[in-house]
Amino acid sequence: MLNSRHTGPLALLTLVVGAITVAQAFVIDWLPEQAGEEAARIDWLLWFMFWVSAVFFVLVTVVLLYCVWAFRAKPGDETDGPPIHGNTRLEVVWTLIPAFLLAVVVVLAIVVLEDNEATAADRVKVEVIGEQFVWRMQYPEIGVESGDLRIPVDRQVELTMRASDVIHSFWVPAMRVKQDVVPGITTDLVFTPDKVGTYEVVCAEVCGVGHGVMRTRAIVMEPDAYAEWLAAAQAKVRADADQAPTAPAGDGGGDAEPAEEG
Amino acid sequence: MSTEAIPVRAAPPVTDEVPRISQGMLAMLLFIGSEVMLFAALFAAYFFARFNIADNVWPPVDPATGEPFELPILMTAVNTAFLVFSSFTVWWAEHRLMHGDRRGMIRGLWVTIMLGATFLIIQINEYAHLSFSPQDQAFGSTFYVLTGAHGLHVFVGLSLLTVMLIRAYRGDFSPSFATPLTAASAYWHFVDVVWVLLFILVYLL
Amino acid sequence: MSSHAPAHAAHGHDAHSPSVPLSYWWKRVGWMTPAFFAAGLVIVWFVRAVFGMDPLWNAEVYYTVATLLAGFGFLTGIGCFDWWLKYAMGRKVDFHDHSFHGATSWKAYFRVNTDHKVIGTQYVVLTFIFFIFGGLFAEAIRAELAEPGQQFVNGEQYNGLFSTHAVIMIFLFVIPMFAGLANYVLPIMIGAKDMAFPRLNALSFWMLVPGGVMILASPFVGYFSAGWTQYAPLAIQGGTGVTLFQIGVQFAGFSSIFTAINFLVTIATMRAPGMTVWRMPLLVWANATTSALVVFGTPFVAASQFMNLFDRVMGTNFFDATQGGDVIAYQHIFWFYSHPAVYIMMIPGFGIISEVLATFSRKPVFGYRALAMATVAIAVLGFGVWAHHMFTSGMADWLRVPMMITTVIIAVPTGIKVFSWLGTIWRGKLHLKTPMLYALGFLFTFTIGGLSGVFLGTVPITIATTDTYFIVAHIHYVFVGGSAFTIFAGIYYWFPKMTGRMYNERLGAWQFWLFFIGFNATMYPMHWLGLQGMPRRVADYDERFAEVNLVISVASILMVISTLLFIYNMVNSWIRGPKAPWNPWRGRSLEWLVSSPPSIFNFETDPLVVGGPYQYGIEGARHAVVYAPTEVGGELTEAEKRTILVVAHETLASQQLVDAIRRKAAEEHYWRFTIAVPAADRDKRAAERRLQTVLAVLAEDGIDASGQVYDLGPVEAATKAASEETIQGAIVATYSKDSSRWLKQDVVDRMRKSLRSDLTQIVVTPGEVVEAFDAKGVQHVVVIGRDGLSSQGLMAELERRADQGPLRVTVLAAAGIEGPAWTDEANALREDVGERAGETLGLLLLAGIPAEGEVIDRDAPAAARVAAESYSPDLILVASARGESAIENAVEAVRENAGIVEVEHFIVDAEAPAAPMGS
Repeated sequence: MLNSRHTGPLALLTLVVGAITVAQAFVIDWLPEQAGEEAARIDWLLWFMFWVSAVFFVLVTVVLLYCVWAFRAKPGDETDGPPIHGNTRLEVVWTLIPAFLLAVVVVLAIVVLEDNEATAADRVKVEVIGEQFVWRMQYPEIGVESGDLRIPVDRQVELTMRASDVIHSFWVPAMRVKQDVVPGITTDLVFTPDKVGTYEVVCAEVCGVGHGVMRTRAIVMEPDAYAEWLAAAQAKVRADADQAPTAPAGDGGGDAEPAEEG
Repeated sequence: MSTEAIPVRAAPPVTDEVPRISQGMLAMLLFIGSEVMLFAALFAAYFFARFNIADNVWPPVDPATGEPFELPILMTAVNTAFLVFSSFTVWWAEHRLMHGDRRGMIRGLWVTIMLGATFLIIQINEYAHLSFSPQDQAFGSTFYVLTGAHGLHVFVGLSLLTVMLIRAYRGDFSPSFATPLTAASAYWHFVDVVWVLLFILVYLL
Repeated sequence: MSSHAPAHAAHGHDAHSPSVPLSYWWKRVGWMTPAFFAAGLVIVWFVRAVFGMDPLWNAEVYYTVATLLAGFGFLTGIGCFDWWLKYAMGRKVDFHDHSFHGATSWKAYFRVNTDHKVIGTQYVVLTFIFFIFGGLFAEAIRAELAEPGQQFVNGEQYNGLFSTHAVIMIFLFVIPMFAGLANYVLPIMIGAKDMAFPRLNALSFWMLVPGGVMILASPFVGYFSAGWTQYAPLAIQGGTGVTLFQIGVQFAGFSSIFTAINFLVTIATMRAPGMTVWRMPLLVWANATTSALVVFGTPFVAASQFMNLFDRVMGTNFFDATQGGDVIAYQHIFWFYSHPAVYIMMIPGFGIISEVLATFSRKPVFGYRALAMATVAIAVLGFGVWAHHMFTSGMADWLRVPMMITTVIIAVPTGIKVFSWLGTIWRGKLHLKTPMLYALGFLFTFTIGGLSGVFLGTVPITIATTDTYFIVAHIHYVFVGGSAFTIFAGIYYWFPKMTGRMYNERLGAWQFWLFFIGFNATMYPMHWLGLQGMPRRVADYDERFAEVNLVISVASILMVISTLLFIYNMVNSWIRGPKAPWNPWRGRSLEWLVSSPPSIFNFETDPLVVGGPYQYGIEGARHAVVYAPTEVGGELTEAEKRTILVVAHETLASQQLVDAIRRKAAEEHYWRFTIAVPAADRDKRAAERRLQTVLAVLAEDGIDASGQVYDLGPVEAATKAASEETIQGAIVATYSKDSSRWLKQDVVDRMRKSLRSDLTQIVVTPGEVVEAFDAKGVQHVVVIGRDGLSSQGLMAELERRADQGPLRVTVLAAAGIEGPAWTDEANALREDVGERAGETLGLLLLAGIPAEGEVIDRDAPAAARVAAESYSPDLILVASARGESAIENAVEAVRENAGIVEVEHFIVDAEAPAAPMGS
């Protein structure tokens, strides 16, 4: 159905546009550091989506460019083009193929979502409070509150989050996870860091004047470093409580100083 | 007529029938559609507050008294009856017009307006005697805004009917031309139906 | 068949300009707006005092009510409600009052006008001004973001900048701009004379003014700074700026709802006969769909803003978690409208693209029905995807996957549309004019935006990228690469129609490329920023994003330059661009078959739609039959003249009838005339001659006429002529009642019954018939003679000549009086010759040759001099009877006196019955 004189130029254009599309995907460093299991799955999904999208983008762009080049009316040509009203077979094809591909996408997305949100038995539980314009991490079993999120590597962490005033959003780009914190309800976020390091935590829901500077760090530590920090923080809390008996323990008793980077 | 009259141009089939609905009526129906969506949004807020947050513990407890808030169901039921009856009277007014009975139509319109005004006055009176305010939790807010929006629409409906009454006195309507009246009465029926729904969902259930 | 357009009394009448000057309305605005504002303050004070509300001076409540009423004050002042108030108060009103219709000067655009073309233009200009403001806010944002840290604005102001930017672009630019373009084009496209409710149309436009003023004023009273989405509870913390936004958005919202109702009723009830839904242009499909979305969706945003407003101003608890309110409910209610809103912002653009691609590819739209149904599918499905804006909001977990599925499904009809558009240009004959450039550019950028949308449809990817610059990139690809490109395409496409001028094509192409390159350079890198970790709605960002942000800010300047070019092109071309023809793009839809700009009521009569709107490439295919001069569109003659039947016989070649025809032709341009001459039992050749004379005279006036002599009586001839071609009117010319045979036979009434169309009767006085015509196509012959006059030979000669071409004759009978002219003999001679001349004239008239004459006292050469001086003939015919020496010998002298006029000598045959008189 495709006239043979079109195939050559089309193939050439496909190669060129395809090459540019793929090149810009690989040459540019699109994704930031990947530091968690969920991030890996999401990155995988992103790349899958890229390939599917690239096919359609290249298809559309190539046809567009080719039409502009091959079918441009010659100057002074006032005649009409052929009265083609449609092609049922073609229309069915270009309805069904995208539908199929999209079904695949949906299934993959569901799989990724379930995998990402499956809770592990040995997860570390931290409570987070978002308020204008700071994040407060609370470790209730040991009564510690921290301005940074300190977590051990290779263990799932579950954040149970609340907001004091307006809606904020807890976002760790390196983990590719994000969850709004909403006044009046509790929201959950789970992720499993698999690389030691310090990662940005950014507020991602406009919350007022200080929205742009409401950020903190997620510090992923080796298990022993983490245990050390926990112990030190707990000790400090007890020390403060001993010094000031009226100060309640386990309820936001000030920032713990990081002893060392994990 | 010439015996060999062959039409030189075959006319295409007339595919456009005169629509069965008049422009004014169609416009009013669409407007009513958008008003329905407005109430749908207000009802949505009500349902969120009642089922999502309060878990259907409804009406919630008034912290001042320790007892749940109370709604004046009996008086409102009577008021509802007035409003429902007024839908009948406006229909009757239209019916009378179709029979050429202008005075009957005018009487029907008067009764409808009186009933509607009565409804409004009783509602305002209820407002004055409710034990809670719009600031009393989501319960008060959703209640007052839902019923208040409805009251506003009753007022609009009464204004429309009053204009129709004035026009009826001027003799603008006849059995063959009653579109504004039909449109206004459609709006009135809409106001009535919303109220019945509101009464059932908010007061009774 | 009945027209669905609102009937009005007569065709072609002018709009009377209103009797009040423009300043009257603006003076009214000047005092009513503050008066209503003050009334609002008083009402609030009164209610609060009476009900003992505390505190009495809660400023926000006053502001809210007062600004709301001030908006109404403006609308009342400018005159939107005048007619309705008159109706409501029971006063006599004219339903077809056209005094506010149409534009004859610039002033018409600054007051309430009921003409959809005026309103459409008002919309386009006003919304473009808002676009400029929105762009200024955008540039302020980019100026601040060019470098990390705080440079020009603080956090609160910055938040206000992006919030206001978005609100202006959505509610004051994209949505009303599409409404305005459709307002102008759509009624003409469906063959209507205006919208269903022109006064409501005017109100819709004017509501944008207070709405826009409020929104633009909000930065001055404390920005609203929670984003255009105004999530509770942050929005509840806001101040007066939020109030102005929330009230302003209500004006804009109701404006669009009224417009949508207007469109739906117009499309449902006012399409031209023959326009089935499958013959509607895709722009009409698009606007019908969008209007349905507006009618059913906008109330949700209205409700969400009201509840937000009440929470903030009245202390209600819709969204207050501590009082049993549901914070996320706001988002559900808000997005239930705001997702369909994005389709409201795109679907009209899709309609424009279909039109532009077909016209500039000279090909039918590929898959017209699939495109139409895909549009409806997108709109319907669009109501079921709102929560994809809320994947990370903390709403019920179970809702996410169903919303993902519905969201991804919408990609299918959207894909169908993109592929169908590609199918339209494939194998077309592409003309890369500016509208086409924008349409092609749209295909490229909208594809990118749509694909990033599919990314975002999946929950995991959204979790990673929502509320980041990835979203900003996606939004702008679909709104700028989508909506704005289509808006530019539409403005360029219909500029010639709306202004009657052509824009500068080279400037247009430059403007496009600048905008395209600038836009992609600005927005594409934002995908990277979002993935890398830059959140949206921040004035400050991490150092590592500095370079890219700087590049983006600089690139955005290209769009500024491009916009300036656009403004220059539009304004300059409007003022002094070359005049635009009716159909510069040789399009086929109805708007191209009227003048540029169209006349006040668009069409002189209802067009008749006979086919689809995109029948390019099919020889002789027509979309509609429109009555217009044939110079429209050249070979695309979708045009016809209406035909008037003229029935006359003896009265045919008369000044009165010709004048009546001239008057009719002058009144409207599209009449052609077919003349039926019923010459039953009469001299057909005479009838033929009269017909040719009249046709020659009419031809000189440029009037399209043809005719035929019928061997039938008047009614029969008329009926036969009417059966041979469709006529839209008829004129019958008779003598007056006393002298008309036809009237005695009731010809006029019988004809009226038989023809079933408008019949006009012209009464011709018998004296009129003898007047000669002075027209180039009619040869003027002066006949000089005496004895040869009224002879059969001369008559035969003149008839022969008349058969060859239309003729009129002036008979100069040379009496040949010698000596004094007052003697009795001279008088007798004169009378005699006069009688003979009179006979000749009578015979000529019977023969269908217009004639007049006079008696010349002296001889033939003297007559020749008179002829040359007073009559300017084309030919002098000297007619002498055989042996009439007085004339024969004088031929030379005649030739001398005739000067440049040709002279012929005709010798009448010996059988001439006339007796020679004198010698």
